[in-house]
Amino acid sequence: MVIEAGDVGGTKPGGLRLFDPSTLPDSPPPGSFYKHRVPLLTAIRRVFARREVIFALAERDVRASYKQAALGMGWALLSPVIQILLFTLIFSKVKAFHVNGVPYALYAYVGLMCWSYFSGAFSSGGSSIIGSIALLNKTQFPRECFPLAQMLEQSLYTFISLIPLGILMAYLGFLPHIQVLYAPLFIVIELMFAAGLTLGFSSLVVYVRDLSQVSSIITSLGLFATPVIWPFGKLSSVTWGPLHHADMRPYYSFFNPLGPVIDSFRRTFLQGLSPDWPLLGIAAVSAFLYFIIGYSLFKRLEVGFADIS
Amino acid sequence: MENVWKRFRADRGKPRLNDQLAKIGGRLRGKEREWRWVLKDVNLDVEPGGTVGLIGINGSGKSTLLKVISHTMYQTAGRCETFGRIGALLEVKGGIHPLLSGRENIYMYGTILGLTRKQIAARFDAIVEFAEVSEAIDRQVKYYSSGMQVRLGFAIASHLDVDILLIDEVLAVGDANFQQKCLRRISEVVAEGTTLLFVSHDLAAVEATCDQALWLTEAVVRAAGPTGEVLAQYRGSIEENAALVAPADEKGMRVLKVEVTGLGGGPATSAHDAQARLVLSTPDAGRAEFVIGISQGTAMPIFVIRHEMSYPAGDFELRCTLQSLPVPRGHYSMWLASIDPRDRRPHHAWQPVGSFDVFGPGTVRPPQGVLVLSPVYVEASWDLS
Repeated sequence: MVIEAGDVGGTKPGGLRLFDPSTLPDSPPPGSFYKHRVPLLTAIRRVFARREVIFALAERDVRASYKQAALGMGWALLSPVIQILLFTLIFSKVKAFHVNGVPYALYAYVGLMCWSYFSGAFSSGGSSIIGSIALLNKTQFPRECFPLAQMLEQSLYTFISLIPLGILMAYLGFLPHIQVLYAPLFIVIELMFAAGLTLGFSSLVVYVRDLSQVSSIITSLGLFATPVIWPFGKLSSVTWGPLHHADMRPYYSFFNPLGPVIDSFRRTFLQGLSPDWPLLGIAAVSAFLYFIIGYSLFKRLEVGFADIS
Repeated sequence: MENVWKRFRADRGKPRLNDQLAKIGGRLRGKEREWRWVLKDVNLDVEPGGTVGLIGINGSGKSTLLKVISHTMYQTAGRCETFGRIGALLEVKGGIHPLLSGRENIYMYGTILGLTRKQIAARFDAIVEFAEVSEAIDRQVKYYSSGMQVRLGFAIASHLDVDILLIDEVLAVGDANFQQKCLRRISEVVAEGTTLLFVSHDLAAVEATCDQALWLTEAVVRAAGPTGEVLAQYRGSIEENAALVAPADEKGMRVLKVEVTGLGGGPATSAHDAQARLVLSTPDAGRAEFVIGISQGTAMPIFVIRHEMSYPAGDFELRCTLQSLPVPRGHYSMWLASIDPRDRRPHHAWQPVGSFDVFGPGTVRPPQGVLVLSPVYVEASWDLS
């Protein structure tokens, strides 16, 4: 084993090297600065190689959060049920929200599932980096694992909330339509969108802590700004200010891909129609852009995570 | 690791809006950000299986260096490459989740370090046994005593077959028994071919585990090389600093000269009688209890001797014969205090007053992983029948 010395200094017998700090320049040579550039594909490959970590982190969180609760995982069942009961009680009276042939409870539940996944992933994933400082400072797996683990955890809860959906369908005697087989496509769009926003947001929060307050505002406003309790079709003819029966759906879809995603779930699964392809296409492109931009931002900002947090 | 530099933002003011805006304004006008360098041009090349101790006072950059090596932080400039799996024990409880049981923590941490469940299961019993938590393994870690948590943390990190083990000042916690156990475990791991980087203020621990050492002061490498020689340099500097920070007594007793020689002149030699001569100066005559101590490196003396005597006003010479000087070859510091026997107030506060060399046989290096408290020379004769 050798300790190499790059700088001038005295060498004493026995391999001891002494250095004179005063000979050091004030800053490193300009060319030697470390630039953190990781191509996204390389990054994705690295994350995939360490996917076990995502599972471990998610498992840890699930275990830890339900260990203290007497009801345990029962809460993951109970909270969507209570929410949908509330929504049905309040909004089923609003005639404008009704769609022919579909019970309102089911209609709202599908929207709520899509939305809950996104808002859960975004709020818990968004704070995952600042919440994991202890681990972040000591281990060296890809940093994406923290927000991705939160997304995985949220997927589990969404999966669990399928149970009340099944019960609700059985109670109402409702059979899903065959078009439900399109679902994986919608799920991919939603995942890309959620991943992009969560990754980007979680890295920004490290630098601008105030954003952690903003995230709860975004999720509570988003619940009403996204077609969760109202039908997406409401946007097809908007009359407001200078707008006269304008179809806002394409613009909306680009801004918030969740709109077409929820709408497509309802059209296929509940109504037996095919998705609105042009709008869904816009949503797919938009979700992809969200993902690329959010992920790139994350990779750019991850250099300072350990320094700042 | 080549020419690594690391800086932090020194201008970490309040994150308030007006401060931030002022800062952005300043940067727009072309003002450079203020930086504080915590590592300057550090070079370190460790072959697989090597052991390096990092020493230096608080804030000299040791921990940051480990973080850069473990890739949890990115260097500002330079290159840093490592090969193999890194296990970092940067803080004993690091990565241990208080709400999970000991068992869950072991699996969880193992996975994070990159082991499969099967590999962890194979080491599970050894970890539990080392940590001495077998009866509590399914209890939540928050109900563990802090000693148990520390043991579990160390057990996990040291049993996971890493290629590079980074240890940052973790042996300070835990009782003496556990420290000894940790050192033994570290030696075992090193013997298996793991590369070790060890940060500690416990110089004896560094000496016991590392072949090479790196001494950092204020972001800069001051010395590098074989552990013994680097430690000697470091110890010398600590004593210089101790003398600097010692309070100056204007009115009390002053030390004019310190000399330690062999009894008949010539250099002081191990296991031979030596004489210490101190020339002191004092405004008033009186009576004092003189305490003399000899130290090497740390502020902890190897031994102290004391004697009560009357002394005259003005300059006088205090002579003390040390019979059969019990220290090996090396550079030592002499500490002096003189205390008023009536009110126990010092005429001269406890501080180093000079240094001297001892000639003779050198220290015997203890077996790997064994701590020697302070260098004492004992003449011994051996026999075998």
